[in-house]
Amino acid sequence: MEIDYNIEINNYTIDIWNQILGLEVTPTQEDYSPTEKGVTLAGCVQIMGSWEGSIELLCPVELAKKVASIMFDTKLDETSEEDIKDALGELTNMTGGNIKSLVHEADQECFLSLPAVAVSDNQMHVPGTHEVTRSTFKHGDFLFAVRMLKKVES
Amino acid sequence: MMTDLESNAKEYVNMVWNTLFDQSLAAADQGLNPQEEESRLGIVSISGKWNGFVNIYLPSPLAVLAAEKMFFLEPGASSQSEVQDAVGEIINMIGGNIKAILPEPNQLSTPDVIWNAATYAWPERLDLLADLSFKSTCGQTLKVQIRQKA
Repeated sequence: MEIDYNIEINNYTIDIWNQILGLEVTPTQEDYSPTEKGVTLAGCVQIMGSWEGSIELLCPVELAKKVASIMFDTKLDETSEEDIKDALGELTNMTGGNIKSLVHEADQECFLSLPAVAVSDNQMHVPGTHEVTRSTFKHGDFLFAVRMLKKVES
Repeated sequence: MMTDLESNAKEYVNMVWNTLFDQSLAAADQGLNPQEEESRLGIVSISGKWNGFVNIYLPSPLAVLAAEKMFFLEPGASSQSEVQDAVGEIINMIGGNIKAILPEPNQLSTPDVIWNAATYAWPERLDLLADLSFKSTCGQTLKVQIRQKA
């Protein structure tokens, strides 16, 4: 049976944000595509092995700050830039880890890279891949997105 | 004194640069500082029996020159996407060569390209095994590094 990655990503994301952070997030049809520079953080993990590609978490800096303050139990205005990037890296890692378990073939191992986090105008560029799916979520007034990119077969 | 990994990596970087651009690289004492000079960052992950990253920092004008040369473009005609693809291809080739001398089995990821290298945060708990600086024929420096997960 073909996997609906969009549904799976929605379920994983709702669970991770709820169980780890106690935050309610809901999938939305709205598009998260900020044009302003410096307002978005992009977290990225690579999946290697029988399935090759990457998972990106695109998140407004202000929402990532809220995530970090919950994750590291700090006051919102005392949350450091490093904490913010660590928190987003951890969320990306958890999201990617769940998706990895979905895409890998039973008899062939897949590996997950360490997470990369950078400020981005919209997304991190992963040459040689195409977007499999992109899910957008809403938390309060914030939107954020999860992208799944698969390596283009050469 | 250079380790075997460093001297092999140095050789591979030269070989890749020469293959792609038909130019040689000279060793440079001082590499670029991405916090001070606008630069592009290309990264590949290696996972398996050896876990870590191979990355390249290219100053913005050199990344543009690389894209122009790689895609046979007129000066000033490259798009951001072409520059990103060029940086990705360079680090993919360098990483692929370095992967081959690391403990097997291991897997090479697709490349990540960070447009503004200064905004990138390296994960903690990484040992910097190689930090190699090179000078291109146009006088600009680039940096290639190898980091292993501690």
